[in-house]
Amino acid sequence: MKGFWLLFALALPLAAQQGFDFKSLDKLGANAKDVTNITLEGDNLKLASNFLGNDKNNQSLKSLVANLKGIYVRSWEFERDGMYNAADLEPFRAYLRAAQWPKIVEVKEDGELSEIFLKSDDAGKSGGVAIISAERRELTIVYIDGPISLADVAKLSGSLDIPNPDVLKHGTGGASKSNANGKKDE
Amino acid sequence: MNIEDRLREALEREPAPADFKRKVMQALPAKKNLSIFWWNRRLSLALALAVIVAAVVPTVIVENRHRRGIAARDQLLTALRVTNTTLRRTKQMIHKNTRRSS
Repeated sequence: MKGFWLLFALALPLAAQQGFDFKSLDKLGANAKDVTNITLEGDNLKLASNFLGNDKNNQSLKSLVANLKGIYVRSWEFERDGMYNAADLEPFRAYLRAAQWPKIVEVKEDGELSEIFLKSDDAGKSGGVAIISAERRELTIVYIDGPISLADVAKLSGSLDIPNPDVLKHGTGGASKSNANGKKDE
Repeated sequence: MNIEDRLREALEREPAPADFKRKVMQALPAKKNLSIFWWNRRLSLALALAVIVAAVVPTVIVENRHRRGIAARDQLLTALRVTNTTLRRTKQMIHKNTRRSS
């Protein structure tokens, strides 16, 4: 029995290295009115950064994105309160714990919860950011894997005034914001 | 002349006319020319098709890549917007809590 627990303890960090299966979170959005489901990794992430403009703001965004391993965003909006099971978030939290992403922020207010996890590498540099925002009618999970700090995220997505992609569209697909049926909103 | 003689005369082997061989040999190259014509035509068609494919395929690939790139960029910007909104909300909650406790 002791051996089993030892094996289990050893297997957890190993499983964490395999990466989290975001499909396991799909059940959270079973009753969602709106779903935003973004997975950008590898070549797709590089491709995305190549298609950013060449002005000064985009250059810093490009250089930051170039070092990232993956960006995963899951966001669900619900029509009424209590339409998702908060316990379904537990596998994601367990993964972050196993992968040694310490929780640096936890704020609770009126039944809403916000958590921020920050991964540090051996050199003490930030190796990723994960955010869980659980509101009554909205649930958002952000997982950015790679060298990025909260300041970077705030700087890039805040002060750079990132435009709505719809404005930039040239008659093409766009981000996968979809309705409850999984159909894309064009 | 009785019937036997007439039959013998009719079935008698005759030597070929003097220019028969020449006529046959003349007919052969004409057939060969026709075959070359059709082969040339097929080859031209195949070449034309190859040129069209060579011109169209890279355009389609570039167009496809462009479309994927735009979609990926839109996703990246949406992801950063969602991240920003979520962080801002968290910051507001922290501020509220801090004010309440102080």
